[in-house]
Amino acid sequence: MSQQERVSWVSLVVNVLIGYWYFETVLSLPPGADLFGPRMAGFAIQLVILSIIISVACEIALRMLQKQSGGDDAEGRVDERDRLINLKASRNGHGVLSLAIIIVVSQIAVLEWVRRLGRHRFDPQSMLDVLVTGPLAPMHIVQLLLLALTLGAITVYASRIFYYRRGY
Amino acid sequence: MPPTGISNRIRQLRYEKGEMTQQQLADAVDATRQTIIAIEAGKYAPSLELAFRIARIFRLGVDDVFDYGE
Repeated sequence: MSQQERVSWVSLVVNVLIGYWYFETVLSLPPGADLFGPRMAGFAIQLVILSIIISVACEIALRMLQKQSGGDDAEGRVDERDRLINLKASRNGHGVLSLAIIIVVSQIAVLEWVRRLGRHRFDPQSMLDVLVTGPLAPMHIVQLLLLALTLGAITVYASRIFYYRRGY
Repeated sequence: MPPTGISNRIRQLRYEKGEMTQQQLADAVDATRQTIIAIEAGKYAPSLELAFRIARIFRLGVDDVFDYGE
């Protein structure tokens, strides 16, 4: 396994775990929860600090592995195949991110349109209901965009691993 | 037929060139060992530039190292 592939695995696992933890917490909040309140701000800060610590610890561990393995890994060399894989993976991630943003923007537009028609009585039972059916406040939209960014990042790392494993 | 449709004689040529290792070939052509492994297994079609560099190491033409099966 190359250094690039190892880095992709670590990044994928960190993104999936942190993303899952964050959105699991957000979705389990009651529908009227204050997403801009001190409790959520504290949680977000805790999450950012933890992800930095995990990333640094993984980076140190990978560097140690790199030095032990020698060869290309010791030099951290990147060649045309790595660049091509990065390019293809970024393209996939960009595709997912664009699609997710289009869905969020359409959702905002449709919900606003339905609200103006007066045909939608917003009665959300959970935070998931709020994020899907509204009414959307700016902090709800921030959550949806964060989800889009997370999905985009996960797609980039998963694509890289796929291309390295399958061979490209 | 390999997935890329391009077969090659790199493994055999390395052997004939004093059992050159994949790492030595990778260093000589400025690529990674993983890329040499992928090329030998037919899982990666190298760029024209890399193909020329590999062929030059064995003092052969690109056609003598790589073969595009119809």
